[in-house]
Amino acid sequence: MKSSIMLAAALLVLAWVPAMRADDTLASTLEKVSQDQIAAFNRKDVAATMSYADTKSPTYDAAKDMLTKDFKSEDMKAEQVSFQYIGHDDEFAYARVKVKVTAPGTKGFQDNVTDNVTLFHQEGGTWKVWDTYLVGGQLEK
Amino acid sequence: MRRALLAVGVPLVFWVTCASAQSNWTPTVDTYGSSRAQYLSADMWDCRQLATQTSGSPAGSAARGALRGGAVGAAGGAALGAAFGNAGRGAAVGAAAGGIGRGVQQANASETQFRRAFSNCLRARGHNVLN
Repeated sequence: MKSSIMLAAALLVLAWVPAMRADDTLASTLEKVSQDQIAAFNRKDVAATMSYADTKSPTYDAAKDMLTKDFKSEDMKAEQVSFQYIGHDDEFAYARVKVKVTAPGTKGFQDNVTDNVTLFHQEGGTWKVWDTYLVGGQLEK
Repeated sequence: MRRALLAVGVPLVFWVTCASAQSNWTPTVDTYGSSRAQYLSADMWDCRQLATQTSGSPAGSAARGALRGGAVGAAGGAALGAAFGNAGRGAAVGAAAGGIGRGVQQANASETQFRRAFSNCLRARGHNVLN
């Protein structure tokens, strides 16, 4: 009886450890996607920013249009405040991402920190941003 | 732990999706001594759907259209922050942002109607709604 319990525990550990490692790898991959997209945003490079987005995303075109307009008229800088991997299912991976955006000297713009849930989806074997949902946000004074 | 987070996270995503289309407000219900308490979750769901249907005033509809149509999520959190920081476009990034932008102001009338309908629906189903 004791040996079978120990065997079951050992099998559980053997199955659990690789799963944890896979999750850690995925979390790191997704965080890099998020960081690289923000870096492209800071370079005001629309094509590069959108290269981290899934082209089949329902918000792809709207996002591209907005960035094209904003990069011409505003000088914004974004910074990833935190990244917390939530998990994944067989199609999407989820992470909670806080981002700070500032635009010194841009009239009418309020610096802010947004709290978002970002959905990632694989396109051509590469993880890309599918969509981002605003959970909350704080305008800075 | 991660499975637990996923269990929380996935409903959160769907909740946020719904919130961007209509208010995430939920009436407070006192279930003490209620024989209908076990049906509260199902009734909440039904009543939210019904209330959403009844609150489609022209101004509210336009605002909700802006909430959906203005979404820029594919460009990530930086793009949402960009929209959030622009007072005129703040509403375009989601109702959960809370209270900035013209779109949200326009949606106020619809929101009041939505809340009233939501509460009335729950009361009609035998729940003790406090607000």
